[in-house]
Amino acid sequence: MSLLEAAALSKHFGGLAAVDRLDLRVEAGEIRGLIGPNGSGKTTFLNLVSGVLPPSSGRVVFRGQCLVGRPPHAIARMGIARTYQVPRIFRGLTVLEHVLVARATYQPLSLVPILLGTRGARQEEARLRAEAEEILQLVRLWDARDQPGEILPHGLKRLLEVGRALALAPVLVLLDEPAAGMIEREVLLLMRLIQKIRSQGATVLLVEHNMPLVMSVADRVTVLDFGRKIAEGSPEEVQRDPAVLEAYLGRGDGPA
Amino acid sequence: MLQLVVNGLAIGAIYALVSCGFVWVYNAVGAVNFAHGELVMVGAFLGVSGSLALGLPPAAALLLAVLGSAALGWLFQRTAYYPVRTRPAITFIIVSIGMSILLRNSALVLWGPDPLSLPGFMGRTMVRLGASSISANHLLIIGATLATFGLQHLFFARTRLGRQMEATAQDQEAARLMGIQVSRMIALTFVMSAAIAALAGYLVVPVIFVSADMGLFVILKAFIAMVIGGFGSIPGTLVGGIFLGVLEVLTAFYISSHYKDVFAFLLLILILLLRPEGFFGEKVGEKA
Amino acid sequence: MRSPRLVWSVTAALALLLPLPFARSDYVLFLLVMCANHALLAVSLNVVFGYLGLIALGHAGFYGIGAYVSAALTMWAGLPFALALLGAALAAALSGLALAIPALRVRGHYFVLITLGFGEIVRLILLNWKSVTRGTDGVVGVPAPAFGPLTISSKMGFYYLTLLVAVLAILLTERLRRSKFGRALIAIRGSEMAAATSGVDPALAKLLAFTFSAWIAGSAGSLYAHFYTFISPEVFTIDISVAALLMVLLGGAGSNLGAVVGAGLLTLLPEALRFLKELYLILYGAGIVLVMVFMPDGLVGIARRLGRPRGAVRAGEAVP
Ligand SMILES: Nc1ncnc2c1ncn2[C@@H]1O[C@H](COP(=O)(O)OP(=O)(O)OP(=O)(O)O)[C@@H](O)[C@H]1O
Ligand SMILES: [Mg+2]
Repeated sequence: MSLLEAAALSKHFGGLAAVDRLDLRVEAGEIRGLIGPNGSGKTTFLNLVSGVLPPSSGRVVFRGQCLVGRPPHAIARMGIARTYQVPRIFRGLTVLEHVLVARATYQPLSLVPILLGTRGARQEEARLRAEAEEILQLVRLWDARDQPGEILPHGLKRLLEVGRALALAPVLVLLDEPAAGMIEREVLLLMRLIQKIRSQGATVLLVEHNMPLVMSVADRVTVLDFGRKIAEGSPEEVQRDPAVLEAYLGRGDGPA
Repeated sequence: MLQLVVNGLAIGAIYALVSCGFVWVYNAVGAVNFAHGELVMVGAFLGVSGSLALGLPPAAALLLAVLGSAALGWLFQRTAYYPVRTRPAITFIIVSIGMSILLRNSALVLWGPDPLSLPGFMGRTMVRLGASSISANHLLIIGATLATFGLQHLFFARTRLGRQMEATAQDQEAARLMGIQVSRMIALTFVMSAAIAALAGYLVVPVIFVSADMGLFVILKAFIAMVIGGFGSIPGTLVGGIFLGVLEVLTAFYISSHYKDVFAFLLLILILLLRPEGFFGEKVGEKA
Repeated sequence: MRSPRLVWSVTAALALLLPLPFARSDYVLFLLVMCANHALLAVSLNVVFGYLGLIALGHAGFYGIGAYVSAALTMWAGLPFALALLGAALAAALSGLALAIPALRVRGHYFVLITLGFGEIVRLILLNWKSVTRGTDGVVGVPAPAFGPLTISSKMGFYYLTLLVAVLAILLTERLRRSKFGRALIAIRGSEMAAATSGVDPALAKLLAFTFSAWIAGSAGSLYAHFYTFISPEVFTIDISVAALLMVLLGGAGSNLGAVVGAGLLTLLPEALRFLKELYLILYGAGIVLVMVFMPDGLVGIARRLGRPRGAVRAGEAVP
């Protein structure tokens, strides 16, 4: 059984099929690249998997459980974390607090000991902080931990999003163009980070326009065009595939 | 019975008119204009003053109300919307709350605290319909509302200007790329919204008393009408307004007039629980 | 604002000493009690408006429910004040919960209208349910708070009682803010979608926030009723809801200190500007517009900007 399986998945916006009867399987433990020209439906696919958008038809199954109809926070709790193409930073929270948001769990009754200031509540907070600081070290943002998230430079915002995603201790990490707007050094850091995530047992689905990055970290690559899968295989196979070249060259924004 | 229903239809028609202008602005700027009720109030007062103080005939008083409010609508968007147009929607909402206080209290100073009324276009004329006699003013309100909705539909569907405004409301960025002057379209939306508010205000004068603090009541009703019809849907406001008007008149008659507003709100809450998208609207959710 | 603890200590000391020079002036003491009462209301609204970023205009409803329930509990059920205060807060919290379930289902902009509608429903019920609320006549003779043999009937005593409740409320609110729940609220304000995909259930978090906020507003209502000894529906209108909103805005949304300062200013200002008569309300409306346009971060925002070294990045400017 695959870790994630999309079957005949579609999403229509008005008359436009952003994702069109897509079948896609991601196996446990792999780093999967997901590429395609602008507007080919990559982000929409991530939105469908993470529950941000409901599919028009079709199914998404994760570890044998259907995700359709579940709210995003429940899907996150099942172990699917994601980042956004346009970083969604929580204005007013520090870098550390961003990670804490995803690290904590929110049983309503745990509010009572918090308001009473019990030792248990303080201990939980201390534990969360320690765990969050560890994650910040992993994404190299520990030095910035007390800065407001919104003043970070663009590349670091993306790393912060990765850190926030990792705070969920995810089984599957969906990354939406994490390297966009990053400088060389940050891309290298990101590359090692992705490999590390996998070596710790998580699976990665990487949407990216930065071809050198995809080609060097991905085990397999899936190519979308107009919401459909047009190719799938090892990075080398995909790069040689005439349908892929056609899709990119046909629109003049070929793989960098 | 027929009399009651016509009465409800007339009140509902007013709600629909108010709601329609409110939704135009909502669709154009993505935020609720809290001062819309006050625009209705100012329109009503202008009309009343035109009739009483200047002695204008009803049609001229209406024209004065509509033109005066349209000018106010332009001033309003210049001072309340334009300076905060790039800020989050919440900013405009609060500014509009401030404007509503400003307009309400200015009206209080200008027109005093006593409620005013007018006989309206038709005076006390009654029309016989079978066994019941029906106020001609009510029929006029219903007719004028239907005509206005028809005209606005033609305007947005058929004219170039209307289509440009429609495109702006759909997607400002795309409209800008198509060469549409977005801020002019939005300004026009505010002007039209104020004008239609004044029309509603003037038509409602024979039905309810006009007072400086009527705005709150008016905007709450417009809001409920919109929720019933479906968020952001113009045909929805017509259906929702009329439904609400008839429902109110019937509950006031058969249950209790004190609690008719409470019922209206309970209906609102029920709809939000059972069918938050209303009867015509789309699903509600954050854009992904 | 380098050290919040220091700022709070100074504020608390000021609040403790404030009434002493005015021990002989009933008028000033009256105003100070109202400042403290409004501070409570503003702190309550700050949870919803400041943390969650939702404009709520129904707090008059919670305030009113707190006042009437507290009056009923002491006058008809004969409960001691302390229990009535708790009961009033609980009743307000429950109504907050009941309101939040439908209200939070709609987009932010409509939320404001639903809360507004809620406030109006409460007012209409207070006005029309005459057998219980006595309608426009109001309830006369709400008893002074008594703790066993100790009855608080002086304005000075009332000031310190209100201050005590306000300090407790601020303490709890600050605890909420520094906890995972507080962070979740700010996260939702920033991006509800990203908060949700980070495992926060936005509906649940909002529900808790709203209930908590209503709880505090209900206590403020209870204190008001026992201080004023007379309550009528006229007090619990949209005007007080809007005033609370402006208190939070003027001080700086999201900051409890700002809420306190805003409440003080907006309670004293109308008194100082009494000579303007009806012009005051026109200026008040214009004031809201001007604050939003020129100082959206309120007084606290201005203080922060002044306290920051030159050339530093201004928070928020980096947000696309
Ligand atoms: N919420 C939405 N509403 C309407 N249309 C949308 C929405 N989201 C995406 N689309 C449309 O769906 C299509 C696929 O968009 P999507 O963002 O998934 O592409 P993408 O592959 O991520 O592109 P890019 O590489 O530019 O990020 C596009 O035509 C886009 O305009
Ligand atoms: Mg994309």
